[in-house]
Amino acid sequence: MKKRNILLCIVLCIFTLGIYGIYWLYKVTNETHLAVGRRTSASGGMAILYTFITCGIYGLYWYYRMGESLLEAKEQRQMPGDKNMALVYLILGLFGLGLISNVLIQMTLNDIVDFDAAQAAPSSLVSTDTDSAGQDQD
Amino acid sequence: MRGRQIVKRYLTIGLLLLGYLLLHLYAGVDVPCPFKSITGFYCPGCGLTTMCLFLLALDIPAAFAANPPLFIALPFLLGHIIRQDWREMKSGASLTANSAKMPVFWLLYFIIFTIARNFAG
Repeated sequence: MKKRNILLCIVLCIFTLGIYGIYWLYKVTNETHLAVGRRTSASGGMAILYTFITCGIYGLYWYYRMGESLLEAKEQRQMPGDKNMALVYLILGLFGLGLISNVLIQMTLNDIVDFDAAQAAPSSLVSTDTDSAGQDQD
Repeated sequence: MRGRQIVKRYLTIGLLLLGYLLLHLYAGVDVPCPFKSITGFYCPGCGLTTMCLFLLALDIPAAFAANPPLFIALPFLLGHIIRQDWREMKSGASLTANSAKMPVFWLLYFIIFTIARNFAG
């Protein structure tokens, strides 16, 4: 899991007309599953497929599942978490503000990466590269 | 416990889908397709509601005609979902390496058929 520069993610989404957003969805999904330690929704690739064939409707469900999954990841680490965030992400997505949901989800993932690094987590998957928008090595 | 969560999820989604189909049938509620509204072209999911209604009525030819690529793909996609959830219920461990082959294959499949559907008459 890597931290992502959120501002850079937003800029990339805008300048690539949303194509970076597809990659972002893929990475966020898989990294959330890593953070929880189990698969809580479809994999990143399948999430893209389902969103594509349902014309975005699956994306609403995805927002909710990510919210629940991140809450679970926080509870595992005894980090403070808001039980309503899943609903917030969904509602933002419903009103066409999905980008804000994506930002909030990424912020939570960044917090988890920071927490794991501070706890010196044994997992070798955690790093805190904050110099890029999360260019991955895998 | 995990099995119960998975069953609860299937029931919730099933009930929501059924509720939407009933609202569509009797109250005229419809989910507009933003892609078709903007471009005038069918998206991969256009006809999904009609297909589901014909499937419920066991009218297989009409369900196929509503959205042929999705009609063909649906058993495979549902089978994939059910198989993953079954494995998770059985073994408990569900984080496996995510192969890109399946999503890439189905994405290409739907892109090709969507183009054909819109331009091949």
